[in-house]
Amino acid sequence: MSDHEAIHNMLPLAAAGALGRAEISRVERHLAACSGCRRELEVLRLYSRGLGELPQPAVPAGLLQRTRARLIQERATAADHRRQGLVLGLLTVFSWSIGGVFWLLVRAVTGGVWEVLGTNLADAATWSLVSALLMWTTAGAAAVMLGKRGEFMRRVL
Amino acid sequence: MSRIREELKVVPGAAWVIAVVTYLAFVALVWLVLMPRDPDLSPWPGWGKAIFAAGIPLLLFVYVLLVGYVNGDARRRGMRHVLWTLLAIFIPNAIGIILYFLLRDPPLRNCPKCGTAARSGFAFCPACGTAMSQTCPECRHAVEPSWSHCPSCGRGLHAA
Amino acid sequence: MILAATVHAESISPADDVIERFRRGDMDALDVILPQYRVRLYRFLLRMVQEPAVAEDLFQQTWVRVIEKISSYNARYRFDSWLFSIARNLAIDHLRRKRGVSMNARDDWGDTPAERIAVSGPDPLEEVLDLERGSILAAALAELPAIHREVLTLRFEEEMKLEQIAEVAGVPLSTVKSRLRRALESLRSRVAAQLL
Repeated sequence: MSDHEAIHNMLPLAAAGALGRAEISRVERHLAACSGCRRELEVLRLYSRGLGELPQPAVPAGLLQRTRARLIQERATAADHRRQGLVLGLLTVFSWSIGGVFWLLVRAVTGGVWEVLGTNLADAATWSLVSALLMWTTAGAAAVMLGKRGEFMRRVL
Repeated sequence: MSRIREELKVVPGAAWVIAVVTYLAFVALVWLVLMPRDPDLSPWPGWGKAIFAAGIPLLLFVYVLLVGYVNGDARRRGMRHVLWTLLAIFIPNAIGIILYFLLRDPPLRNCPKCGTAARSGFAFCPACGTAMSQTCPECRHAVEPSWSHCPSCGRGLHAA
Repeated sequence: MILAATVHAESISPADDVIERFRRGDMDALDVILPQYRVRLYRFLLRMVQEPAVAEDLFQQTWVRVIEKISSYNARYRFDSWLFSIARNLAIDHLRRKRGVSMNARDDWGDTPAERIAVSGPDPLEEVLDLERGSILAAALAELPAIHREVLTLRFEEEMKLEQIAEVAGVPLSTVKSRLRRALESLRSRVAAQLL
């Protein structure tokens, strides 16, 4: 790339005031001799100034007020979510534990054996399976009914 | 901490009574019936058995309290408390309780003038008509302070 | 002149001790910080997304993010750069979602070859009255790719140094320089396309 081309490529940065001192002197030396580049720099400076003097947008009235309100709201929501997450986490642990407790009670009352339809319900594995099945069906049904926000409920019950 | 105390007040007194009774009953059951009979548990050391007998029924104690909380909380949120209490009791493994916490309504708000409880979306008190939240100047629906347009009628909310 | 004075007066950054207070969790410091960035931040977002309603929403979202991430803000970086980089990322995400176009264009000019009009002789912008120049430039700016709008507004309206623009955009300094060069070139061809 010739020197002229190199300087020509630096002109936009020069117009933007983004050149270092060494580069500026190099450009100035070239400009002293080259009218084409001087012209080009003038045009670029025009754009540069124009971009700094664009029509300014009107900031909507009450922007800061609404922003402050939003910040307060988000804070409360975030705190709520955190609290709810904690409660649900603890409840999940509780749910697993209570499942175990009921099994222990069944064992206590039946003495370890509870024959139903050919299987021993008091056996740990069988109990877990049956319990999980029962849980998913009742919970699923309840969630579906309640999820319809009472509409289904009002019609059915 | 005081927050937890606040929430505990929601549990009806009857639930506390039932919880304690249930706890004592099951401690007795475990200690007197389960321990001696169960071949796996009998050889345990004395203190191990005591912890087991006192600790396991504790979960049932908590369970009853949780059901009580569901009852009291659903009542104060204007939900169908009988239905939710039944769901909390009868859906196995406390899933009913988890469902309650996921699906519950927001708390009721009290009118600043007459004190009546109203659901959270209301713009005006159903008993005395005082404004309970900021409203859209055109369609009078409730709006949040951070919005710039009304979601019901689309009107700009600030003097533009 | 008054307009220029207003623009520059709002460019004063908040004092370091206010920023430090905010970083330590004093939310009241926001009452001082928010007004100082009101015009600058809104203007930047509007230049990026072009719609006032979106710009306001992103303005609010920026501050929500700022509060979320203030504990991880490293005081070594200028608050300006950090704030604008959050805003910039929100704006880019919005534009990406809206148009599904990759905004970090490879090395393309952002305009089709047909529009790269070789301008010889007087530049069309020079022929235009001073009064109209601003609106013509604004219209041309609106047509540029977001990456070019970004570097032009940060350099010429926010008057950020190139190093700072590199921090805001998260790219190396050399990339900022080449983007700036290309942005000015495509701005010129847009203006020429509008006026000819």
